[in-house]
Amino acid sequence: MFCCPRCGNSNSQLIGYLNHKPYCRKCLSFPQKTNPYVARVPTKDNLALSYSLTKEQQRVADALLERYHKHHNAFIHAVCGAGKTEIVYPLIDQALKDGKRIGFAIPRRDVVVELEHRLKDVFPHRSVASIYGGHKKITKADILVLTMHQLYAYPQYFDVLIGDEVDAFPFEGDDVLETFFERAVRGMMVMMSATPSSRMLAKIPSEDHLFLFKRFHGKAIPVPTMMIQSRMKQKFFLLQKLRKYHKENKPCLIFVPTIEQAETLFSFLRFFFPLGACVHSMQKKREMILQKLKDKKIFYLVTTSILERGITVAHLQVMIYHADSSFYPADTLEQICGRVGRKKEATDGDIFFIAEQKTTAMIKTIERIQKYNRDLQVLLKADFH
Amino acid sequence: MICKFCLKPISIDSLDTFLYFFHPNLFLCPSCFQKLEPTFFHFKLQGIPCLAIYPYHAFLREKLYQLKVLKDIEIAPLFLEPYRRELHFRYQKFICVPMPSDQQKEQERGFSPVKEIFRILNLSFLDLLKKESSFKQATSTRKERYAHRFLIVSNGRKISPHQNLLLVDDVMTTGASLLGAIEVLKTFHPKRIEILLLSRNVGKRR
Repeated sequence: MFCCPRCGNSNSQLIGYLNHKPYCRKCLSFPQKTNPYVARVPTKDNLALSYSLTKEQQRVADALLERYHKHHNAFIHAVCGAGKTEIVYPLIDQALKDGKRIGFAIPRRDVVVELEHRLKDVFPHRSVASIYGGHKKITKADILVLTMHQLYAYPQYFDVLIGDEVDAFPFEGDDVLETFFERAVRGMMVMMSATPSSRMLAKIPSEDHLFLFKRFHGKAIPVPTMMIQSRMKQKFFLLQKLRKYHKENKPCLIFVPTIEQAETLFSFLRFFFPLGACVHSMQKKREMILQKLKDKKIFYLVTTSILERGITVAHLQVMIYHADSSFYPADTLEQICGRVGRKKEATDGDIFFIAEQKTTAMIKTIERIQKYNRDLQVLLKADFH
Repeated sequence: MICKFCLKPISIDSLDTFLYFFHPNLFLCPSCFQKLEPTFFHFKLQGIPCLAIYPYHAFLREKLYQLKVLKDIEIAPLFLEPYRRELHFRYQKFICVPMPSDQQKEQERGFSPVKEIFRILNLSFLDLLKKESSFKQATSTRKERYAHRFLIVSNGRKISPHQNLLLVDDVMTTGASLLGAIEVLKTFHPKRIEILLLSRNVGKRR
């Protein structure tokens, strides 16, 4: 029986024969080229953090280091905006000192680009390279930031592999990518998520779990408001709120279920507010538009759920248009709510679910966020005493 | 059962559909089958009757890329599988002449994609043509293509007179290489020449 050496597929229906030689059809779209492991020279003075971690973050970071020395895997379950990325900096620092290879794998391309800049700021003396589709010239660096799809080229390569947002779309539920992820590790594996699926939680042993239910600034997560209105009123509401945000000079994201709806809504809103843009997966200049939003050249974006993760903008306000759509399960809604109030100077913001009817996903999201906030109150009281 | 195009399991209720009633051996799920969108386009090229089965759309281009570049030979028979009986009876008195491709490329690949696609029609193949040197059609203009059509020459084989020849190819864009092939085939003095194409690229004109 044939078993694919790359993705471990042994299903006879997914195996083809070319000139009587078997080949795997499941991982066919990934090129065969691989990079062999090359040892690194240990380096000192890697980390240059301008701020210190909070008490809670330090607790999890210490636990991670302890697991690193014991060669155990870890799974960090932290709320949106808890500072998951900051937690792993001490671990990366320690691994660089030991001369290890470090990888940072994320399912989303936009997040890869943003993380590369963040890591470059924090590790100024080390080389950081990002690898994603259409951008893979540099294949060797001290820290590699890559999309999950590029892990095929690095079997048994990383001593420490950190997987961020492991519940995001292309990675979750894709056997091939999950196998590539597991095979790229030769040492420790760290996975991070804010909204892990029950399937993932069942797969990971309970002693690997590390929890962090507190945002780094210690303030509560903003709770969304439900706006149940007719379609006509929804548009008036959008215009009203956009006018308010425009006056207050606050950036705003409007989430829409599909690309088509995004474009139609944007063509409507552009008539009233020309300082905006539309972002979806078919668009190629996403990074430029996001940069414009951060520079406050435009103040609102109409977007599909591709911006649901990894985006940090100060004073951000969020509106979810057609929140009752089946495109929005509770996890996605929770991630979107997590975009708000991520900066220290602006811990609060508006979140509106604009819909025609209530759905279980919307109710579940609000209940979950309220639960996190209640837990936070308990934590804060414990700190106080 | 797994769909050979999208590798997802075919749901049981779709096995009861009208499609599967008539084509029980089909290995495609209904959504992949619908994406193929056959048009059966009849036209004439210099007086020679041609039949193109599909338009050259994004889905077909993706699948031909999978066949030719990723060497996924399993999907080759699926393009003509639904119409294999009809096409066999239509062309049963013909001999298939596949369009030649670059020999070096073919050796690298290990198979000829055109032959693999049309093998399911159960017609006999005859290699009458060969390509002299490599010329990349995909990146060249219409004028260049017409200038290079004489690269297709006879293989040196001879056939008995009054044969019916069926020229088969996967994609036609400008028809330059087909014209070159027809000019060569006419020197054999066959009884009849017809052309069968997998797809015709109508939209893109260079």
